[in-house]
Amino acid sequence: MTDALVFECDLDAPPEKVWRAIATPELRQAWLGEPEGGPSEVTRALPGERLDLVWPTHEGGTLVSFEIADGAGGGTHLTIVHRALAPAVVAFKPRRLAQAPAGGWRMAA
Amino acid sequence: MLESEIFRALGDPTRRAVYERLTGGERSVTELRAGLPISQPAVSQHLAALKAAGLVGERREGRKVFYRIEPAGLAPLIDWLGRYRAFWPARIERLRDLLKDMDQ
Repeated sequence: MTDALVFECDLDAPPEKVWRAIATPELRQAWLGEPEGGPSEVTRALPGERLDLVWPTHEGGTLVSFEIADGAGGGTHLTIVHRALAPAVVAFKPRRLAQAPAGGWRMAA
Repeated sequence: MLESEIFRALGDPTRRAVYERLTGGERSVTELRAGLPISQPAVSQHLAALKAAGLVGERREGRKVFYRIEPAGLAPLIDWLGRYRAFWPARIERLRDLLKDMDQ
Protein backbone atom coordinates (compact mmCIF):
# COMPACT_ATOMS: atom_id res chain seq x y z
CA MET A 1 0.00 0.00 0.00
CA THR A 2 1.33 3.41 -0.92
CA ASP A 3 1.28 6.27 1.52
CA ALA A 4 4.23 8.21 0.19
CA LEU A 5 4.93 9.99 -3.05
CA VAL A 6 8.47 10.19 -4.36
CA PHE A 7 9.59 12.51 -7.14
CA GLU A 8 13.10 12.74 -8.51
CA CYS A 9 14.37 15.30 -10.96
CA ASP A 10 17.59 16.75 -12.35
CA LEU A 11 17.89 20.51 -12.17
CA ASP A 12 20.13 22.64 -14.32
CA ALA A 13 21.55 24.62 -11.40
CA PRO A 14 24.26 23.91 -8.79
CA PRO A 15 23.23 22.31 -5.47
CA GLU A 16 24.06 25.47 -3.54
CA LYS A 17 21.59 27.47 -5.60
CA VAL A 18 18.89 24.81 -5.36
CA TRP A 19 19.39 24.75 -1.60
CA ARG A 20 18.79 28.52 -1.46
CA ALA A 21 15.62 28.17 -3.54
CA ILE A 22 14.33 25.54 -1.11
CA ALA A 23 15.60 26.78 2.25
CA THR A 24 15.09 30.55 1.93
CA PRO A 25 11.48 31.17 3.04
CA GLU A 26 10.74 33.93 0.47
CA LEU A 27 12.22 31.97 -2.42
CA ARG A 28 10.48 28.74 -1.38
CA GLN A 29 7.20 30.61 -1.07
CA ALA A 30 7.64 31.91 -4.64
CA TRP A 31 7.64 28.49 -6.30
CA LEU A 32 6.01 26.24 -3.71
CA GLY A 33 3.39 28.38 -1.98
CA GLU A 34 1.67 27.18 1.17
CA PRO A 35 -0.38 24.03 1.86
CA GLU A 36 -4.19 24.07 1.95
CA GLY A 37 -4.40 22.90 5.58
CA GLY A 38 -2.42 25.67 7.31
CA PRO A 39 1.10 27.11 7.25
CA SER A 40 4.03 24.80 6.60
CA GLU A 41 6.81 24.54 9.15
CA VAL A 42 10.45 23.57 8.80
CA THR A 43 11.22 20.72 11.19
CA ARG A 44 14.74 19.88 10.08
CA ALA A 45 17.37 21.57 7.97
CA LEU A 46 20.71 20.02 7.05
CA PRO A 47 22.27 22.84 5.02
CA GLY A 48 22.96 21.85 1.45
CA GLU A 49 21.53 18.37 1.95
CA ARG A 50 18.03 18.09 3.29
CA LEU A 51 15.04 20.14 4.38
CA ASP A 52 11.97 18.66 6.09
CA LEU A 53 8.66 20.51 6.15
CA VAL A 54 5.46 19.69 7.98
CA TRP A 55 2.82 20.20 5.30
CA PRO A 56 -0.78 20.22 6.62
CA THR A 57 -3.33 18.97 4.09
CA HIS A 58 -7.13 18.63 4.19
CA GLU A 59 -6.64 14.96 5.02
CA GLY A 60 -4.13 15.44 7.81
CA GLY A 61 -0.49 16.01 8.62
CA THR A 62 2.10 15.22 5.99
CA LEU A 63 5.84 15.58 5.82
CA VAL A 64 7.72 16.81 2.78
CA SER A 65 11.45 16.10 2.53
CA PHE A 66 13.69 17.73 -0.05
CA GLU A 67 16.98 15.91 -0.59
CA ILE A 68 19.72 17.55 -2.59
CA ALA A 69 22.62 15.74 -4.24
CA ASP A 70 25.20 16.55 -6.88
CA GLY A 71 23.85 15.96 -10.36
CA ALA A 72 25.49 15.49 -13.74
CA GLY A 73 27.43 18.40 -15.23
CA GLY A 74 27.42 20.53 -12.08
CA GLY A 75 23.65 20.30 -11.78
CA THR A 76 21.51 19.03 -8.93
CA HIS A 77 19.61 15.83 -8.34
CA LEU A 78 16.56 16.64 -6.24
CA THR A 79 14.41 14.05 -4.49
CA ILE A 80 11.07 15.06 -3.00
CA VAL A 81 9.40 12.61 -0.61
CA HIS A 82 5.88 13.42 0.58
CA ARG A 83 4.41 11.13 3.22
CA ALA A 84 1.80 10.88 5.94
CA LEU A 85 3.12 11.72 9.38
CA ALA A 86 3.78 9.55 12.41
CA PRO A 87 1.70 10.60 15.45
CA ALA A 88 4.69 11.88 17.41
CA VAL A 89 5.43 14.45 14.74
CA VAL A 90 1.89 15.63 14.08
CA ALA A 91 0.94 18.64 16.13
CA PHE A 92 -1.50 20.70 14.15
CA LYS A 93 -5.22 20.99 13.61
CA PRO A 94 -6.35 21.14 9.99
CA ARG A 95 -8.14 24.38 9.22
CA ARG A 96 -11.04 22.36 7.84
CA LEU A 97 -11.96 21.27 11.36
CA ALA A 98 -13.28 24.77 11.93
CA GLN A 99 -16.09 23.98 9.47
CA ALA A 100 -16.68 20.44 10.71
CA PRO A 101 -20.25 19.52 11.63
CA ALA A 102 -21.05 18.76 15.27
CA GLY A 103 -19.60 15.38 16.10
CA GLY A 104 -16.74 15.82 13.68
CA TRP A 105 -16.13 14.43 10.22
CA ARG A 106 -17.29 10.96 9.47
CA MET A 107 -16.55 8.68 6.60
CA ALA A 108 -19.50 7.35 4.67
CA ALA A 109 -20.18 3.86 5.99
CA MET B 1 -13.82 10.30 12.82
CA LEU B 2 -11.23 12.90 11.93
CA GLU B 3 -9.60 12.32 8.59
CA SER B 4 -6.22 13.14 10.05
CA GLU B 5 -6.62 10.04 12.25
CA ILE B 6 -6.08 7.90 9.17
CA PHE B 7 -2.70 9.47 8.58
CA ARG B 8 -1.77 9.11 12.21
CA ALA B 9 -2.92 5.51 12.35
CA LEU B 10 -0.87 4.47 9.35
CA GLY B 11 2.16 6.54 10.39
CA ASP B 12 3.12 3.91 12.98
CA PRO B 13 5.18 1.09 11.41
CA THR B 14 3.84 -1.70 13.65
CA ARG B 15 0.24 -0.62 13.15
CA ARG B 16 0.96 -0.46 9.48
CA ALA B 17 2.24 -4.05 9.60
CA VAL B 18 -0.94 -5.15 11.39
CA TYR B 19 -3.03 -3.38 8.77
CA GLU B 20 -1.11 -4.93 5.91
CA ARG B 21 -1.68 -8.40 7.36
CA LEU B 22 -5.39 -7.77 7.04
CA THR B 23 -5.04 -7.21 3.31
CA GLY B 24 -4.88 -11.01 3.10
CA GLY B 25 -8.41 -11.29 4.54
CA GLU B 26 -10.20 -11.50 7.89
CA ARG B 27 -7.98 -12.43 10.86
CA SER B 28 -8.27 -12.97 14.63
CA VAL B 29 -5.92 -11.18 17.06
CA THR B 30 -4.01 -14.43 17.57
CA GLU B 31 -3.52 -14.86 13.84
CA LEU B 32 -2.47 -11.24 13.47
CA ARG B 33 0.10 -11.51 16.22
CA ALA B 34 1.84 -14.58 14.77
CA GLY B 35 5.35 -13.63 13.70
CA LEU B 36 5.18 -10.10 15.08
CA PRO B 37 7.51 -9.28 17.99
CA ILE B 38 4.74 -7.67 20.05
CA SER B 39 2.32 -8.80 22.77
CA GLN B 40 -1.34 -9.60 22.21
CA PRO B 41 -2.47 -6.50 24.18
CA ALA B 42 -0.21 -4.40 21.95
CA VAL B 43 -1.85 -5.89 18.83
CA SER B 44 -5.27 -5.15 20.36
CA GLN B 45 -4.20 -1.56 20.97
CA HIS B 46 -3.11 -1.14 17.38
CA LEU B 47 -6.38 -2.65 16.19
CA ALA B 48 -8.31 -0.21 18.39
CA ALA B 49 -6.43 2.72 16.81
CA LEU B 50 -7.09 1.36 13.31
CA LYS B 51 -10.78 0.93 14.17
CA ALA B 52 -10.97 4.47 15.56
CA ALA B 53 -9.53 5.73 12.27
CA GLY B 54 -12.21 3.85 10.30
CA LEU B 55 -9.60 1.65 8.62
CA VAL B 56 -10.58 -1.65 10.23
CA GLY B 57 -13.89 -3.27 11.16
CA GLU B 58 -14.66 -6.24 13.42
CA ARG B 59 -17.06 -9.18 13.48
CA ARG B 60 -17.86 -11.22 16.58
CA GLU B 61 -18.44 -14.94 16.42
CA GLY B 62 -19.16 -16.27 19.92
CA ARG B 63 -16.14 -15.33 21.99
CA LYS B 64 -13.91 -14.77 19.01
CA VAL B 65 -13.45 -11.46 17.23
CA PHE B 66 -12.35 -11.22 13.62
CA TYR B 67 -10.89 -8.09 12.08
CA ARG B 68 -11.08 -6.95 8.48
CA ILE B 69 -10.16 -3.94 6.38
CA GLU B 70 -12.78 -1.25 5.78
CA PRO B 71 -12.02 -0.30 2.16
CA ALA B 72 -13.80 3.09 2.38
CA GLY B 73 -11.45 4.04 5.21
CA LEU B 74 -8.63 4.70 2.78
CA ALA B 75 -10.56 7.24 0.69
CA PRO B 76 -8.89 10.34 2.23
CA LEU B 77 -5.47 8.82 1.64
CA ILE B 78 -6.36 8.12 -1.98
CA ASP B 79 -7.64 11.72 -2.39
CA TRP B 80 -4.40 13.07 -0.98
CA LEU B 81 -2.23 10.89 -3.23
CA GLY B 82 -4.24 11.86 -6.29
CA ARG B 83 -4.00 15.57 -5.60
CA TYR B 84 -0.29 15.62 -4.86
CA ARG B 85 0.62 13.35 -7.76
CA ALA B 86 -0.33 16.28 -9.97
CA PHE B 87 0.88 18.98 -7.57
CA TRP B 88 4.58 18.12 -7.38
CA PRO B 89 5.44 17.94 -11.10
CA ALA B 90 3.82 21.38 -11.52
CA ARG B 91 5.80 22.80 -8.58
CA ILE B 92 9.04 21.34 -9.91
CA GLU B 93 8.41 23.25 -13.15
CA ARG B 94 7.96 26.44 -11.12
CA LEU B 95 11.21 25.71 -9.28
CA ARG B 96 13.00 25.35 -12.63
CA ASP B 97 11.64 28.75 -13.70
CA LEU B 98 12.68 30.35 -10.43
CA LEU B 99 16.20 28.92 -10.68
CA LYS B 100 16.53 30.53 -14.15
CA ASP B 101 15.49 33.90 -12.73
CA MET B 102 17.66 33.74 -9.60
CA ASP B 103 21.03 35.48 -9.52
CA GLN B 104 24.00 33.10 -9.51
